Amino acid sequence: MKHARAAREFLRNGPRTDWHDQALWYVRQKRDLQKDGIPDWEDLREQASAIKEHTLSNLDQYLEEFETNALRNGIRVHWALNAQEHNHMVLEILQQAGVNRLVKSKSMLTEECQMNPFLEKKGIEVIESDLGERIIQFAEQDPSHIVLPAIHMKKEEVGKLFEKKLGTKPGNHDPQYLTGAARKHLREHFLAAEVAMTGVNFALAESGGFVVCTNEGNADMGIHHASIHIASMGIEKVIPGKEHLAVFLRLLARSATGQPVTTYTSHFQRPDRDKEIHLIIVDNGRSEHLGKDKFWRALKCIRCGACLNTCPVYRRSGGHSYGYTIPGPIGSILTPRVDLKAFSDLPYASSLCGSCSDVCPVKIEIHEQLYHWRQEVNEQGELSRKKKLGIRFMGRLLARPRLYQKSGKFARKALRITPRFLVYNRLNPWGLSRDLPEPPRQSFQEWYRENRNKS
Amino acid sequence: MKAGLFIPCYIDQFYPQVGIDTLELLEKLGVEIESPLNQTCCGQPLANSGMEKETLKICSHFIQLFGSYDVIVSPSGSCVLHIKEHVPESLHDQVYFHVRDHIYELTEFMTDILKIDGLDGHFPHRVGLHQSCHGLRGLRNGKSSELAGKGFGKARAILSSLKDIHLVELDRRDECCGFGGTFSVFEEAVSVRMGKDRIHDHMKNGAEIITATDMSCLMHLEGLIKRNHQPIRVMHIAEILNAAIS
Amino acid sequence: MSRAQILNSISKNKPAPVKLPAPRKIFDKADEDLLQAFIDKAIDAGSETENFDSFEKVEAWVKQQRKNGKYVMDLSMPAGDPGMVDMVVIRGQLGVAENGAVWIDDEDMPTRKSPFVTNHLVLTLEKVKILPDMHEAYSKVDLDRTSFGVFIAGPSKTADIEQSLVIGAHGPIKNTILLY
Repeated sequence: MKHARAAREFLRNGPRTDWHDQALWYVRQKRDLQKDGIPDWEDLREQASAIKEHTLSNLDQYLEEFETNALRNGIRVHWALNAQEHNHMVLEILQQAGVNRLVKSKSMLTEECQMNPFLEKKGIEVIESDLGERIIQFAEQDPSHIVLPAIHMKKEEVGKLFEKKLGTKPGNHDPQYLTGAARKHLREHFLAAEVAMTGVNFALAESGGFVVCTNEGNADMGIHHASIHIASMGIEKVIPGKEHLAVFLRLLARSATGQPVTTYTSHFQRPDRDKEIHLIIVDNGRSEHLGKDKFWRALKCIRCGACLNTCPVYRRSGGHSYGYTIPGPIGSILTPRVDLKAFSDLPYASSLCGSCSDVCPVKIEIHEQLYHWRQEVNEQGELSRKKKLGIRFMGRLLARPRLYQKSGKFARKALRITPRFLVYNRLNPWGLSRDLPEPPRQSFQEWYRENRNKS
Repeated sequence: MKAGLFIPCYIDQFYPQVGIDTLELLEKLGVEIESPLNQTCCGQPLANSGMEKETLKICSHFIQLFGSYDVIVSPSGSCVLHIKEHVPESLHDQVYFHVRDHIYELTEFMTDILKIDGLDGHFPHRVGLHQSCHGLRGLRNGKSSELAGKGFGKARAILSSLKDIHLVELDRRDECCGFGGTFSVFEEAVSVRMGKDRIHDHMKNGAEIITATDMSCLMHLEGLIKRNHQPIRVMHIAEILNAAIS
Repeated sequence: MSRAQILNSISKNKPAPVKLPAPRKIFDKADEDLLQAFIDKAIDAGSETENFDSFEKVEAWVKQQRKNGKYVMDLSMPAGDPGMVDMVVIRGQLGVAENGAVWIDDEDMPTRKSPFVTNHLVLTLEKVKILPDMHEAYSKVDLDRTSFGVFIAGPSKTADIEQSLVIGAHGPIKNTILLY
C-alpha cells in the first residue's frame, strides 16, 4: 500500500497537512466563485464533454485533418509512437540545429516521457521556465500538482533554495522579491534561447494551428526569441475548431485556478519568418486506452487539475504520495494503464466521494473509473492476498443468512466481554484511532422477530 | 403500496436502533411496511474492494427477498446506490429492474414518494447535517457544492421543518467524512484525518449533534468522537425524525 | 512507420461514434453593459484602463508620452529592442467582456516578441469591438488569416510561491488598455 504509507508519512506533520489542505481548498473555492458567475456552466460542461467524446470517437480523421492543415501552414509534423521515440525526436531536432540548451514551458507530456533526464544524459541543458517548474527543478523534485507544481513548498523553502541557486538575500522569502529574482534569472535564458519547447493545450483540426495557455508569459518569451519551437501533444489534444475552443477556454482557467481566463492564450498558426515550428504528436499508450470501454473517457482530460484541488485525499496526502507524474484522481485512473502492477494501490487511494467527477469540466466519471479499476486490479490478480482473503471470508458469511446471524451474534457477544487491550491493538487497524461501536444485545432482525414478526 | 424495509448489515448488527426508528417513523407516516427476514447485505464491501464478481450470491439473495415489494426503503444512501448501480450484469432481469427502479433512501422516499415536505415535530437542538457522499453525488438527493444551479436537499428540507431545530452552517458543506468502506482501514491515516476535520467543522460551528442519512459515516465519526472524548454526538436522521414526532 | 501505426491503432480502438453537439445557444445578453463588464474584468486581471472619446485622443496620448521622453514602440515606430523601450503599443482587434481579454495578432505587432518582452504593454481597443464572451469572440477571429494571435488578459502573473499572487512574472509588469 504505497500510497497509504506515503500518506501516513505526510500526515505526521499535522500543521503542514493543514496548510497544504487549506491552500488547495482555497483554489477549489475560487473555482466555485467562477462557476457561480456563469449561468450556463453545467451546459458548458455537457458541451465540452460531448465535443471531446465526438472527437475521440473520430480521432484518426481529426488528426489527419489537423496534420494536413498544419503542414499547409508550414508547421512540421512528427509522429511518436512512444516516449522513447518522442525523446529521440527532440534530441535530433536539437542536434541538427547544433544547440545544446532547451528552454521549456510546462508540459505534463514531457514529464510522462521522462524527457528531461534523457536529454540531460545526452548533454542537453534543460531550463524549465515556468516558475513552479523551475523551483522544483532546482529542488530536484518531481512536481506535486499538474498546474501548481510547487504547491507543496513553503515560501521559506523557496527562499532558501533561491539563496543557494540565485544568490538572493538570505532570509528573504517574500514571494514578490523571489519572483523578481526568477524573472531576472530566466530573462537571460529567454533572450538567449535558440530552441524553445512547449506543450499543447488544444490543437485545432480545422485551422491546423495550436493553442498554449500560460499566466507567466514564459512560453511566449521562449518561443519568440528562439528560432525553433518544438511543441509536444498527446493525440487526445485535438479538437474540431475554434467554435469548440471557445467552450474549453471558458472552462479551463476557471476550473484550474479560479480565473476567467489565463493571461495569455497564444495561437500558433504559422512559423515566424525564418523560424521553424515542429509539432510532435505522441501516442504512448493512448490509442490503446481508447479501446477500453470503461476507461477511454479519461482521455477527455484537459489537464485543469480541478480534481486534485477538490480531492480530500489528495489535499491530505500530497502529490508525491501517488508515485507518478500525474497524481490525484485523474492520475489514479491514468496510471494503472501504464503499469497496473506498480500502481495497483492508486484506485484505492480514494473514498469514492465523487467530488472529482462533479468538478471535472469535461465530465469524466472519475470515481466510477476508480471503481472499475479496482475490479481490473482484482481481475489481474493484483489485489493483495491479505485484503482478498479477509473480504472473501466476509462475503461468504454475508451470502448465508443463518451463518451471518449466528456470526454477528457471536461477534457482538465476544466484543462485549473481551478486554479492551485485546480488542484494540495493531491487528485492529480500525481501532488505532477510533473506538468500535457499542455492541448491542439484539440485532435489528432479532428485535423484529420479537416485536413485529409474530409468525 | 407495500414497502419492504432494507436494513443494511452494519445497522442490523451494530445500530439496530436506527432500523427500529426507521420502521416506526414510516409506520407513523402510514406506510404499510415490513422487513423481510434473513436479509444480509447489498454486497458493497466486496464490490468496492474489486470483488464485484463475487457478489452474485449476495445480490441474488437480495433481489429474491425484495423483488415482490412495490417499493423498498432503506436508511442508507450508499447501499441503495449500490443496488442501483453495481449489481453484477448477469443478474439483470425484470425482477432486478423492478427493484432498481423502486428502491429509495429514507429521505428520498419521504420526499419523492410520500410527497412530504415537512414534519410536524419538535427537535430543540443544534444539529450539523453531514452530507453523505453517495446520497448526495450518487442519488442526487441534494445539490452538491461542486455543481452550479439552485440549491436543494431532501434531508435538509425535512430537518428544517422541525420546530426549534437549528441547523448549523458548516465551513465545508459537503466534504467527505473519510469512511469510504474499506478505505477506512486500508488508508487509515487519511481516513482518520478526514473524519477529525469533519468533526472539527461541526464543533467549530456549534453543532451538538451530527446527523446524516448514512450510519456508516456516523459510525466512523462516532468512533473518533468517543476515542477523543469530544462533547458532540451522532444521531441518524431516522432517530431524529422519529424522536421529533413522538 | 509510427504515423501509420498510430492511426491504425486509433482506427481499430476508437469507440462508437458520438455526435458533435449542436452549437451552443447564444444567451441573450442585449441588456448587459458590456463596456463596464469588460473594464471590471480587465481590472480584476490586473490591467489598467483609460477611457477616450476618439481615436484622435488616443493618438494624442501616445504623442504626449513621447513628448515626455518615453520611448514608445508601435507599428509606426517599430525599430529598437522592445525589451528596452518604455512601452509597446499594439492595436487590439476585439475585447471579451466575460474575462477582460484583448485579441491581437502579429499583423499589429512590431515583432512577435514585442508584446511579451516589454515591461509595459499598451493595447488600444474600440469600445464597440467589445463582445460578451469567447463564443462571440471566436466567431469574429479569423484563424486562417492569422499567423500568430493571442488573447491577453492583464499583465503577466504567477501564484506559484505559496499561492501569493505576484504581478509581473516573465511577461510585462504593466498592462494598459486604451478604450475609445
